[in-house]
Amino acid sequence: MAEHLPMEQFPANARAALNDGPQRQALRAATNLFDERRATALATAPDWQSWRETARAVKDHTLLHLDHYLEQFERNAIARGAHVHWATDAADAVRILLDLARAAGKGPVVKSKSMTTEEVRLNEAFEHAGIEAVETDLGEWIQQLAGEVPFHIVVPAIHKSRGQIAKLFAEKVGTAPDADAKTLTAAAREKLRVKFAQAGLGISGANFAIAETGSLLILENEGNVRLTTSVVRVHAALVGIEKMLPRVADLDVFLRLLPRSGTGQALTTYQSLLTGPKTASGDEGPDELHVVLLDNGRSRMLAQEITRQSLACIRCGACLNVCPVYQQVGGHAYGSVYPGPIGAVVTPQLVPLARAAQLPFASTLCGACRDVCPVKIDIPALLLHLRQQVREGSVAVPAAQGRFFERLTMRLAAFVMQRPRLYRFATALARLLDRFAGPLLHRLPPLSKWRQGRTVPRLGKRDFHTLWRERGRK
Amino acid sequence: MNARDSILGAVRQHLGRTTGAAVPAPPPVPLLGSLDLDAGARLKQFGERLTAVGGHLHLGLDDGGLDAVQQLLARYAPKSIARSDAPTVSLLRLHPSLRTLGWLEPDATRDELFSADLGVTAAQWAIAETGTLVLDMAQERHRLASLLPPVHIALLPHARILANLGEALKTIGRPLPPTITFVTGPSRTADIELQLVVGVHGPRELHVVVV
Repeated sequence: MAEHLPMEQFPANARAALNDGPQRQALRAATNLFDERRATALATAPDWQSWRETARAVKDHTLLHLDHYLEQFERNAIARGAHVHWATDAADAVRILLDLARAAGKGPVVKSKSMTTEEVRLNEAFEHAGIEAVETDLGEWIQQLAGEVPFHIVVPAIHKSRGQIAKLFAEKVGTAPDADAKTLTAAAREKLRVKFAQAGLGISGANFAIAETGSLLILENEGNVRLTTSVVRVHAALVGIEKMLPRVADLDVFLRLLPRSGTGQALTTYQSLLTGPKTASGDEGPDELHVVLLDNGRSRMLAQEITRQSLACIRCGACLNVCPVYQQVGGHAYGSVYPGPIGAVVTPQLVPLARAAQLPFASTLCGACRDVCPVKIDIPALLLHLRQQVREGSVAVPAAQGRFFERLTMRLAAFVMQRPRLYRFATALARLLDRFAGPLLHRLPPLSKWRQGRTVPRLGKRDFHTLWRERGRK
Repeated sequence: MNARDSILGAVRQHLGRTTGAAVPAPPPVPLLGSLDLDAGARLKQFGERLTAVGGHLHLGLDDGGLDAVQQLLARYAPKSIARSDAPTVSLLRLHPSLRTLGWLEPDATRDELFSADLGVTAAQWAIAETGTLVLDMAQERHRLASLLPPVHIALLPHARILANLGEALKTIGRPLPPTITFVTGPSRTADIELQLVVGVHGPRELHVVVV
């Protein structure tokens, strides 16, 4: 069964990931390529900045009036024959989808890629209930065969080499152990077609939900979303409440931003705009359409402007690809379905902060994520906000255990820095210690801990004050 | 309290809104991309963008696509051909040179469609900017014929090529049908070492015949 690494142990997870050479190599190649593709796609979009602003304005407006748009969506979806369910948390969502799977009768459940179903751990629940649920996105299927959770929100198996996948398929699917990507893909098509033909329920997520028409819009490249939503008798979509957009016309700007940011495409191969189930018995499409609207901590984020922007995220993954931390440690170290910079801000707001207290610190605050974000989420500001919450939080947070010493050190530094003579004495002492006992001190706490991820610089022979005075004399 | 009321209540509480409080109009939607292309320029751009994503363009303006479709069917030699119920497709099928081929009925069973070698449909609209076909299910029964077979041939009326996505979103029929599908090139994946492979779940070849 696919298990997450414990998010409480991010530093240990990260260290383990740093020692995984092949994984780092695959990650580097992948994130670089995605970044290049994104840059190429943006070069043909001269109005990029104004698109970002338009999209963010629409998201802000929608989130500020979310109750209105949720009700409007519900009304219009029901008018078109869809069933609308509400899930306050993961357990609710799982229960609703399990009931739908049982009602759909025999046959497996087919799933198209959905981070939201990963968030509620749907596959695990289905496994417990003895219901076969098959991921049909190639990358997700690879991860499912390997017993792993997705490594990247757009390319789930980004960290695996073709050789590793060929070996996995040889064992589970029966292809040749040296099969190429084309052969592996063809094998997946064949195996999964059988599942599609047998399935009673298809489960998807949705990229956008349109309030004025009660429609869902789903993007993809492979065609498995189209299969999930058209050849299976019942279709259920699990949709976060933040996915609302007021109008069909709003899709224009979002469909310009999302594929370019995610994969560097002007448009993904397929967009399905789905409004209700089929209306006549002879029509194509599902007999039943169920939309499950999920809160699971989202409504809480609406309260403050700074946290509200987390809900503007359209899950493009661009911030993962540019993040110097994600580029090195990859997706699993975060211990959450949402890795990378956006995961480091979303996860601590979805789970109890005490569990995810390490994640807001998993960043250098370089700001690359903010620069690439197609909806202009200020991720560094959010990270700082969450760090402050961890540090000042009244909840007992493991990461805050060093708080006493941290405060003491800061007070001491402030005391010294306010007294020039004492400061000069202290720096002279530090210089002396560095010169004669530097290497030893670097092995003792507190420097030994700081040294884990850094090289401690040796101090210069003369300090800045001295150099400044000399400069003045010249 | 049921889940619906508790979620809506929580949303309102955190936003400081009351039930039924007024909502201002959402921000205006600006026009994005260019609109001022003539028909010739739209066709040219559509062809370029379609080719760039791995699709193929054929011109059949004088003969309703007959020649192009004949050649394609000769090349692929399909045993079983899925088709939609579009009049242009029916007309082609009845041509003496094509009528003896293994055409399925538009209401063929799912299993028949699963094993079809090729699908022929029309398309309601196209978008020049991205090389995209727009399939409107209210107009035609082509949801599966365009998806299940490994090769898809789409007949596109030349007057139906729109300049950009915004125009397409405005033009698609209201009320919206159960499905509108936007198709840009063949089905593709890059999930194995980011290597592009076509035809993963949908067609590996897409031919657009402009009529």
